[in-house]
Amino acid sequence: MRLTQFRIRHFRSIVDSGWNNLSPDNITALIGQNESGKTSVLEALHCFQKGSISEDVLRSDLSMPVVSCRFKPDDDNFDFEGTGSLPPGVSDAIKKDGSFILERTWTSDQSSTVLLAGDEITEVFRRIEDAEKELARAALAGAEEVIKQYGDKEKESVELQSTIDNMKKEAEAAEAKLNLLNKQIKRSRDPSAGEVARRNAEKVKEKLASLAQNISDKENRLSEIRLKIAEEEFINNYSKECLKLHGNMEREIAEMEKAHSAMADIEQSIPFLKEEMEKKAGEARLFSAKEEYIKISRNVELLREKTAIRLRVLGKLIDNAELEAAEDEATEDYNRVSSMLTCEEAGDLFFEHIPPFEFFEDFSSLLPNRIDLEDIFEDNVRIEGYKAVRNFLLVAGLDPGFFKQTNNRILKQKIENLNNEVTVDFQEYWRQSLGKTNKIRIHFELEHYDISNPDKMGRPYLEFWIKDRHERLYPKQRSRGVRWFLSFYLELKAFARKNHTRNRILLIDEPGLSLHARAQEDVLKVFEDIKENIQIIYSTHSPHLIDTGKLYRLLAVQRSGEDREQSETIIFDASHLHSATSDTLSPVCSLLGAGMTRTEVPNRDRNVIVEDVTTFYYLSAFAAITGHEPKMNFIPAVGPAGVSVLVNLLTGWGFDFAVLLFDNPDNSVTLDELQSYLHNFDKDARGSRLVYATSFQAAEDLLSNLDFKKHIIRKRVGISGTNSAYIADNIISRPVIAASFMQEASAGTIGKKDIDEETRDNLNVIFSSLEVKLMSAGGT
Amino acid sequence: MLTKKTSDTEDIYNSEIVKSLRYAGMIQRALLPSAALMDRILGEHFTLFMPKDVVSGDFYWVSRKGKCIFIVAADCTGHGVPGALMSILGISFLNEVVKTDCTNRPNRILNKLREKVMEALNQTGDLNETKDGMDLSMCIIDREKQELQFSGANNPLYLIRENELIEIKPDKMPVGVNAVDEEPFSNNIISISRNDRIYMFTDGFPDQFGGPLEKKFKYGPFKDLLLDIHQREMKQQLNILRDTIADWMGDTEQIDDILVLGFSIT
Repeated sequence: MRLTQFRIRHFRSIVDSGWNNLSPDNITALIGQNESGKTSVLEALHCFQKGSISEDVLRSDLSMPVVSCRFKPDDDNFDFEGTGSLPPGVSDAIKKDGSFILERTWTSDQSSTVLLAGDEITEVFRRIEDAEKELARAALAGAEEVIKQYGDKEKESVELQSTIDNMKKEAEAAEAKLNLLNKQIKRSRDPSAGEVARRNAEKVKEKLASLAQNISDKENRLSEIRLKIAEEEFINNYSKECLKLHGNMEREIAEMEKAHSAMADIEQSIPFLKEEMEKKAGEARLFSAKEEYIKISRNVELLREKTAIRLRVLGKLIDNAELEAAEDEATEDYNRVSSMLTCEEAGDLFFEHIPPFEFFEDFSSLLPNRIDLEDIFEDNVRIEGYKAVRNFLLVAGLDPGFFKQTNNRILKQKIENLNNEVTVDFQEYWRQSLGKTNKIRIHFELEHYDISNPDKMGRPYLEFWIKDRHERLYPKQRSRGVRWFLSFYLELKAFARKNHTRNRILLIDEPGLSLHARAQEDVLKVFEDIKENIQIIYSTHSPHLIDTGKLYRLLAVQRSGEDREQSETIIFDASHLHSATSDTLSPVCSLLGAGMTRTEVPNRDRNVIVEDVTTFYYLSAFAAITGHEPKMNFIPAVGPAGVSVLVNLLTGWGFDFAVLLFDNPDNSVTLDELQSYLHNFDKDARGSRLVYATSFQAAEDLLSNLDFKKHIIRKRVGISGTNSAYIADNIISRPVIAASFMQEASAGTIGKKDIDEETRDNLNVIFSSLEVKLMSAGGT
Repeated sequence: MLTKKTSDTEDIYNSEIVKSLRYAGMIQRALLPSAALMDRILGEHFTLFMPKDVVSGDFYWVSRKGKCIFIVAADCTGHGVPGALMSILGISFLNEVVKTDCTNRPNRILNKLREKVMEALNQTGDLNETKDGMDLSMCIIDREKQELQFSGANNPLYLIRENELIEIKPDKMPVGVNAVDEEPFSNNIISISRNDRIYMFTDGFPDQFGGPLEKKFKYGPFKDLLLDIHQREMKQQLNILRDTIADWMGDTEQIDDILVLGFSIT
């Protein structure tokens, strides 16, 4: 699995680096001035792996860092254990991209989480989370409504009962009055008085009838309400329980947060305790606080599960489901959702499969002059040179069993053989001779203490030497440069050997600072050797740690404003190097100058200046494919604007050259510039040094659409416009695909037979035109 | 009563479709080169063009650029409306590629045409996508150099010279996405001489069913027929071909669009 891109936010001087591509061939160099932020990039990536940060990485606005890394599995059909539990859509999104993003975010207490991220994936997780929240919100609102309605009914029933009681009393009073009136009617001798009493009695009867009707209506209503109350009693109680459960859960979560905060406070206070007793007491408090936190968080988990199921059941009960069915469905639904990984869980799962990062910032672990075998086998890490010796034994492929060989003659012979093997391997990298042919050799011997060390007499120890033809010196007697390189070599080789079955990511801050230029180039050679299984990201100021043929490996790091202390860090990838300042690009510029002494870049003749590194890759690839002879020496400018600088330079040195420009608006400006103040750049003039590739907008347009699809983008799509337009429309990194094409062409994977007649014709036209210009340049 | 009403609606609907198709047919014919243009560019020639339906999936196309004459006989996937839509795409793309591209090589034009079709139809070689496209033959004649360049997408070109029929074979792939990865079309360059007869066609004629045993006409008899008639005047050749295929079909339904284009080198 490879790390292909990274993005860093809110980390020291970096506000937002944007996504940055790492070199496809596993070696990426960060160049830039001091304080530009190169080390911050390496540290941020290291923090992504280890998870912890210190306060000094925080920005002044205290916004918390976020580091995102995109990884590409080696196998397109990756299936990590457990990815089956990813929510629907997440696996598909990863398979579609062929890569995944992990994002580590930190909180104010400096704890962090790793999330499986990416727009589409985040959206899937967000939808699930929103659905859960909405489900809980709706159920809680439903519970409150149920309780309210139940309460209203209870209130209404009480009021009705009271009204009925009053009406009954009123009826009783009316009944009594009627009896009285009836008696009056019977007793009355006065017809008029009798008549009045009869009329009153009629009125009372009417009232009684009305009351009886009202009472009957109210009693019916009361029966109905009581029936409903009885029916809803269960759901009302269930709702109350749900609300209570939810309240408990929230209270418990608040308790958990308090416990976490208390735990963090104690943890932070311990380093400041001076007395041993205080420290012990602090550690005991921390232990108790952790226990408490664990206890509460377990309780929270239980409450969360219970509440989630209960709220689901309630939602279904409100929709008139039967309790048993509602419980079954709710449990099933909860199990389905809870079995799906959250973005944090998915992040943890994927994180386990990414390559480990290692940050080499200090190579001080030097080979000792001597070390006891006992200390090695007992892992006595405090012994001087322990790490270097462990590395040495690992590189030499030695295990403790080796030293159990009882036959001394065989053991000595084996050691002699190993000394030769390790030395030969080391000399592959260390090309710096001490004199013309006098290379250094590493040598180790197995010895036993004699009487001069009575305490250890008879015990075995290893002794190390760094030899050349004339001298045999202990490591400590050698120069700092030799010691550094040897240590570095052992670290790297051991790192590669330890992890040979798995890819690793090696972060190195300014390797080889104290090395001679030639030795720095040897460091680059070591990188080349181990890059198969180790991705290397290093920062450097040295032109000797940059390969001019592989500028796609560069990321230029610089501050955005003039106030370098305050302004933010920005990063340019290889396709935008021309946007970086000349100070930032100084190693690259030095490289062009440094190469002069070796007449590699440029040559005295047959130089062809091209507009950028991408064009350089394509032209170099085309030359390899067509086998064009004699060879042309392509020199990339840093963007079209840099062409005239190179023209000036080569003219000044008196070197022969031609310039190849493609037919695009950027180059028309360059063309005007060349024509305005330099000789021999009228594209139509005789003796002109310029080839202006009319009708080809960029180097990739020299390929037919078919060859472009077959060898560059490797996709079956219709391309009706130019290849360069397709790249621009589809936001493809030009230098990256061009670099990979050049590698294949250089390796002979793509040959003349693999390109079609249209491409061959186009290349023929360009190379013939260049030949004419080079002949003319050489002749003038 | 209800049945009658439905039937009336269907009639109206059908008559609307027929009207639309007829109008579409008119537009399609207008996009084909006129007889006058064909006369002007090809000189002595005939065009047997028998669409199966009102609109056709076969089309022919000619153009002149400098000293070169470009001729195409094409058969789009399907016939009727789908074929006609594809033919309109084909004609538009041909116009665009030949006019905007500097190349005078038919294979490069077919390569470009295929890119345009794949792009327009979003073809990526996915197994589930439709394989719409065109089979066609294209030749470019340079009378000054007495040279004919030919590229074919599944369709060949016949050249008859001194009573001998020379078949120039096509590449076995369509203009459109193929089952396997796209390869470049090849270019065939043939010297031509006065009185050479050139025939370009689609598979409609040789694949037509008919005859006493209801079989395909086939390419062998088609070649024999052309050899028999090639020395006649072009108009006579057209009539013979039309009568022959009509006799062959008899009452059998025409199964595909038919296109045969013949011309002589003057």
